[in-house]
Amino acid sequence: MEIIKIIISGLIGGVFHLDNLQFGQFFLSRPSFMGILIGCVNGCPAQGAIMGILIELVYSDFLPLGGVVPPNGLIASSSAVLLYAHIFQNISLAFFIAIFAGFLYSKVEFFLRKKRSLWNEKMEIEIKENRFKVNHWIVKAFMIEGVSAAGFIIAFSLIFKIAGNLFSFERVIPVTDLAFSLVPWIVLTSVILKFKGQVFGCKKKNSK
Amino acid sequence: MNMMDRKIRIKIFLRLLFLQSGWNFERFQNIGFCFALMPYLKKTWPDCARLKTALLRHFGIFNTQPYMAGFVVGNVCSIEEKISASKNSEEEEKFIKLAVDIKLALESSFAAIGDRIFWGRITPLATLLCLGVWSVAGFYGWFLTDAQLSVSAYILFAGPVLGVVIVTCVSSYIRWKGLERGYACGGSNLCGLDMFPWPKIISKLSLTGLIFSISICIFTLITAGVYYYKNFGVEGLVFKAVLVMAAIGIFLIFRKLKKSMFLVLATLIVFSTIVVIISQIEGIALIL
Repeated sequence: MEIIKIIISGLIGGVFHLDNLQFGQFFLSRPSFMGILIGCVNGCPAQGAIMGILIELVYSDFLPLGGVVPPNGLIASSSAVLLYAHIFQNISLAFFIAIFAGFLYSKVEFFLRKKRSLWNEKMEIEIKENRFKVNHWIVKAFMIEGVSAAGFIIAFSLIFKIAGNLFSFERVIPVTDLAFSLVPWIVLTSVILKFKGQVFGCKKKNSK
Repeated sequence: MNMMDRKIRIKIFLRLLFLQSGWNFERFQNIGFCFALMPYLKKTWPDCARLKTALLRHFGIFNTQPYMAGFVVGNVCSIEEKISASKNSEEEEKFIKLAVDIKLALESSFAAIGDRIFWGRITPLATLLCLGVWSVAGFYGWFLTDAQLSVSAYILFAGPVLGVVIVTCVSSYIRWKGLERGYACGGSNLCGLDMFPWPKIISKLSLTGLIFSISICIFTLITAGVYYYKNFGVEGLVFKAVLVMAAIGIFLIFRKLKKSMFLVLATLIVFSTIVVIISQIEGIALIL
């Protein structure tokens, strides 16, 4: 049953991951939303909400400007919920490991975007041969992104499920519990300073 | 002749939702850009050879904030119409160069505006809105370890869904209006830049974010302060306050050194390890 829930959660994550880049950007792939959604599937919506919103606040420091690939909040929040619900039953440990998952997936995303650069040459050849439909390339991008996100979430959770059976993480839990209790204050400070810099940074510029 | 009728505009608008499909490091949003432009190019250039040239013309680098791309696409559509209506090859060359130059100029301008508004301000504001909704609804689990977690999923969803609704409405409006305005003033490299008071919007969003974030912070401080005082007394409250200030101090040091949040979290883990070891040796009960 647990494995089925992990797979279903991975598939849901894979579908909503498309909102992150491939389609729409309607904020449905935000960690706060996905944490609750995946949490509902796995019987822990409140814990999903907590981990999701804190992941979102941590990752708000990383902006997708230019060619920068920020850490993936959807992967992190989905992994966090699965780690909590099926492996550790501890919110703090799941949170910190999931932060790493989001960072790791950004490397996968970097690789996928690099590989897609090779499509340009092939598409140019198609256009020169009067084949103007680009739809199949869009569909290909969708499939690859969706499958890779779903696969990563499932694989990451299963790897830690095996690790959880082989090793005991109990000694680490008091440390992660304490660190996790301090994270909200750090991220709130970060947000305040970010907006303060925007407001007073602008006023300084205007007064000059 | 106005070739941007409602039907074509709806097609382009829907295709703009796929702007970032196929994003790649070589040419960024070029695949999505051509996909969005396709219905208009097919209408403008019924001849296959001319359509091919037009498509290849726009298959180069393109990168802008996705919600603002409508301004550029509309402008390019208008210029393509001018190219097709050119009386001689000189005029055609002039408009082809204009199409490429304006695309480059506008994509950078709108990227700067859109990134500041959406990624820099609206995104963190949506997160704060979520926290605000939860705070009003009485869900404190995100900052109080022992808070009651048996809260309705509807309340939990209300937070982020509000952000989704606001962003969807704003982004769809900008995409739609951008397309209309871009087409109307096609050929101008200031096209759409004067449509809204962008600097005023940016500064108002920053101020709103600052006020909102400080309000949320004050609320959490008061709620947490009352909670720790009631359950652990003055000593417990002071102990917790010292830990929080130490954590914020770690963050401020790394912020000053311009280091990433990952380093802050790693240091926080090290700090927590030290505190836990000391508390276990001294027999102090930790307050979370």
